Amino acid sequence: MSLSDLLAMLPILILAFGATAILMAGAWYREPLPLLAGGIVTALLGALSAGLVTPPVPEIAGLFSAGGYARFYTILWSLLAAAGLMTGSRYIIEKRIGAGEYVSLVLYAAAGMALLSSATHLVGLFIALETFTLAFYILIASNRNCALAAEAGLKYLLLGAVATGFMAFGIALIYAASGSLVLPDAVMRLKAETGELQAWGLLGWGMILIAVGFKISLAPFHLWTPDVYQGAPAPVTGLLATGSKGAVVAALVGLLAMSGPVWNDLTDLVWLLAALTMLAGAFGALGQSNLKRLLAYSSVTHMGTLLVGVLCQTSEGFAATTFYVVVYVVTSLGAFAVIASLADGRGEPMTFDQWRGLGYRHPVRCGVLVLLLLSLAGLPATAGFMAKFAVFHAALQSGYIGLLMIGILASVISFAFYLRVTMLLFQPDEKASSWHQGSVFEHTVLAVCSSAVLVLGLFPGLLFGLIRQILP
Amino acid sequence: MNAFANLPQFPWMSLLIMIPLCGALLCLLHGKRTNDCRGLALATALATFGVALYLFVCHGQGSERWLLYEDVNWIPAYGIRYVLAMDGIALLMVLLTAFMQISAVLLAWRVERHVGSFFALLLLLESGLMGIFLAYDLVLFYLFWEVALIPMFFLISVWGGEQRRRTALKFFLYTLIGSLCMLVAIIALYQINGAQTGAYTLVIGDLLKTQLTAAQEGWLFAGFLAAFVVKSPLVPFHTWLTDALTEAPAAGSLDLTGLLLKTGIYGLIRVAFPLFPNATADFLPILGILALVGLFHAAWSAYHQDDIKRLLAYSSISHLGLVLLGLAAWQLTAWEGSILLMVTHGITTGALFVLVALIRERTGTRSMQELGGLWGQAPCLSALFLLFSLASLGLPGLANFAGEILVLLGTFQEHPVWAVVALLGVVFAAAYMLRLVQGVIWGPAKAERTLPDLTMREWLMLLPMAILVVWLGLYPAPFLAPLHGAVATLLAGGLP
Amino acid sequence: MEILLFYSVALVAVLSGFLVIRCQSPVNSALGLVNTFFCLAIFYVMLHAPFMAAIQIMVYAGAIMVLILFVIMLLNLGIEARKRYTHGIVWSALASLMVLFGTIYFLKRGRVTGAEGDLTAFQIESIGHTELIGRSMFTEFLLPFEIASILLLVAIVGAVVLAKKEV
Repeated sequence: MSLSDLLAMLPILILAFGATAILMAGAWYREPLPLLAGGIVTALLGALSAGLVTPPVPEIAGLFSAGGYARFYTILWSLLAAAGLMTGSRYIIEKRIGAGEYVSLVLYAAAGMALLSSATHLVGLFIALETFTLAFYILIASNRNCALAAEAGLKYLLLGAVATGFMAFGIALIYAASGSLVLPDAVMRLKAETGELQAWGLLGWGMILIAVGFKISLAPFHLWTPDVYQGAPAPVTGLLATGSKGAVVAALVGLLAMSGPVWNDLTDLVWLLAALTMLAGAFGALGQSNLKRLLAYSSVTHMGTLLVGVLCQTSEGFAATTFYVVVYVVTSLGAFAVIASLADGRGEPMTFDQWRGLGYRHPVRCGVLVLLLLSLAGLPATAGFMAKFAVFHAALQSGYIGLLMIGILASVISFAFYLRVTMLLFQPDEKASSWHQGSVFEHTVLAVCSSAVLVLGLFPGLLFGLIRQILP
Repeated sequence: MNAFANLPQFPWMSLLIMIPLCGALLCLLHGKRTNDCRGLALATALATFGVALYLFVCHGQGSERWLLYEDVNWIPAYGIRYVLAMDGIALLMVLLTAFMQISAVLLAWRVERHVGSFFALLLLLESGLMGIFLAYDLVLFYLFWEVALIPMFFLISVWGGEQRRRTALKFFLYTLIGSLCMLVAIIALYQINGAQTGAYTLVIGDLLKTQLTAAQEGWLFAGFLAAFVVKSPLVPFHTWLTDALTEAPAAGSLDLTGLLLKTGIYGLIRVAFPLFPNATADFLPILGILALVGLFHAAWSAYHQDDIKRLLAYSSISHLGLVLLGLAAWQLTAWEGSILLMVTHGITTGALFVLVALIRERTGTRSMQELGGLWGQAPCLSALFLLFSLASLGLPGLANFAGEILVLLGTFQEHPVWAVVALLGVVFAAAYMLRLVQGVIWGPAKAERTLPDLTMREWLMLLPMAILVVWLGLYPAPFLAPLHGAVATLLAGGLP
Repeated sequence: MEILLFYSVALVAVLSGFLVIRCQSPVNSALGLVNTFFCLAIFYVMLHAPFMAAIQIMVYAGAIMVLILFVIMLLNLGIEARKRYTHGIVWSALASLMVLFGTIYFLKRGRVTGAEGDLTAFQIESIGHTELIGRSMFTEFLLPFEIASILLLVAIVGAVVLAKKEV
């Protein structure tokens, strides 16, 4: 570790030290708002430093990349943390949750996600993944008066532990097969001795894939998602649905983009996973009568679509996936922020009965929700459309016509359930009750998310240009 | 490429799209002040119509080249451009849209609930329709295609009749499945073209040069067809329309039948036929036969309806069958007739939907069993109803006649049998229309009602339509003039 | 000989791992876990890592498990606190076995004799195992070591957050 390494790590250091400082401050000073503001400023500073400070070295200690791709995601996750703190502000004040702990956990999680997205070494990958998952176990269960939240936390913990086991085993197998933990290197060595070591290396990749499947809820491993999303408080669910999944996908893309085609023998398996995930999510969402569970299934579908982009293993596919991650993060975060902003003493509006007719009580926020849902569905002029277009285009370019068809089918089905919610919102209902008016913080997040969805939908060229530049 | 591409010119076409869009946003922002919203919406509709009319006056003579062309680089990473192009057909459709929208706004004057949102959606719909008629880049086209879908969905699902939610979902899913098939085809075509030329583009004019195998062409054509045929609607795919038309609020029905249905046919003309000439040639006979089947099936169904709105819905399908027949003939006169018929059908059926809405407002029913004897109660309204019904059944001297006769003449030159069969269908139209007139206007009054006759606002709505119906019937030449060049270009392969 | 030892210890490890989740009494589960840790320690010895084995026994089997046992006994969880769930166990066992055999069959195609890591048994003998660990932990893997400290901090914070009384 040299000074230049430290400089390259500046954003992470800011996040981690800021988190520690806020944790310490929270021990003496229990006023939540200043702590929150400190957390938001720290997160923004992290994003700013990642954007402005050019790292002097391309790689930090041989473990994490400091290139454009890593910095891009560091910015994204730092901003996400800021947004997460903003949406969570009312939650921690009203539920009397220690602000210092909450803020520091969110910032640690952001640091972990940023590290994960920039990992080039399997040890770095593993430890970064564990850092932010651990923070999420606690954030999910942070409301101790809620049995559902405790259940959600426990479920996420147990399945996370299983995923960790698979991940560790997979890494061990890859190391056993290749003698290296540095990813491009390990893949190169695996490929150098064709035939001999393939089986062990592939098994290792398979194990890692299973772990990834648990983390980003791919189809046979997705069953925890609706329960956890429902149980977790909406501000945390927003982070969980976006950051924890996006960071894993980002790591996957980064590793594969650096290593060249790795999955040639696993292609069929990944194909199956992607198809199954898209369909399972779409069909699962059809029967839901709870918005959070519906969004959980919708996120499953989106992960399937993302996997299609990853599967392509072309620069086109990786660019599309990266774009999709950004769009998904913005949109999904916004949707959960709407739920969080409506929450009051009764909890969050979740069941469809509670949402019925809400469009007339809270027209602006329900309008935003409709916009975000339509973007999730992939309607043109919203960001979701451009994201789907890019991924489908990449899939077609790589010849995955079957997957494209399944993706389209899933899109049709998902339109049906998103529209059901939309209609529900504007169904005249005398019994519809007013919910909380929302705080300035929450309205800011919503404004940012909805304008980002529109801007990215109408002028995606800016982001695409950036992504093309930074992809490793 | 294009001679206009480099000339700096005023973005008239973007203006046509942006004015309603801005109006929609303003209406949304002023949702609380109901009267402002109405005025704002009307002003927007009038302004749009002013622009459209100006363009019609400037470019009414038509040309074989583009009348207007706007080209801006939009998403360079994917070669997606913001290209708007206008030929004679688009000009006429734009004019129709702008014209009908004024009536729609006036018709929506009496909407009580959420006035701001209603007008915003109506104007957004207009914006989307303008976009569909003007877009010349496939992604842009697809974008507007969906943008026009969403407001209609909300108009039906929030302000519709009893069955509104089910109907709205049915409408949306039908058209959505079609348009997603189109999306697949668009991406595939984009891919194939990009692989051949190395330059990825989505501008229709550039995609025309793509070399396709027969199988590829067939599949891609099918993808586009799925979207357009559902929207047009060709007969096996029409069930969504009757429900949607019946359940939609009055202004929504007006836009749906007068304009939204035309987008499907317009898509065929502008996108599907030129891009896939060989597949089109194979498909035309099927299209002709399906169009004839539709013509008869819809006329037959219309004859047996009791709900007058539903009857008009079936009559729309029947008329559009005739339009599609004209296209299937693949002949200059027939095409001109088809396009003219689209316009006149928009006006006459639109006006009939307006009148039905007015009757419904006054009597509270749309059932022919409960109506009747309207002549004695509201003579002016009945007279207009009679006028538009006669125009709709194709009485010589009124609007639809010009279009129908051109379609039949043109079709006769290519496929005499089709033309003769279609003529029988037109007779059918007379039957159900006369039944409608008889049931509503003549006969004994079923209930003692004192009906107010037309108000000032309603006159404003209907009188321009009535004048236009007579004008189009007697002297359609000014509206045919811009079509000549455009249709000739399209029949010759679509590259101006 | 070594292979035989490995397999027998591995069998014991897996069986005691199974006991952890299948035992009725939490105390027995905890003891099963201790047993698993011991087996792992034996593996470390077999891999020429006696220091790791000692740490494993001292920290995990010793300190942590003793704490856990204390907690269990203090809370006085009875047998009835753990319900027996038996549904689907046969099917899942069958499925797992199938996956296991499938994996073994798949692995038959490859061998593990290829590339070796940088640290051979001979090197470990000559330099010294503890020194090697210390060196790589504080040079090459300093950063993950520090990140692990964040991880532990998060865990501590989490324990406090979830366990403390309402303020």
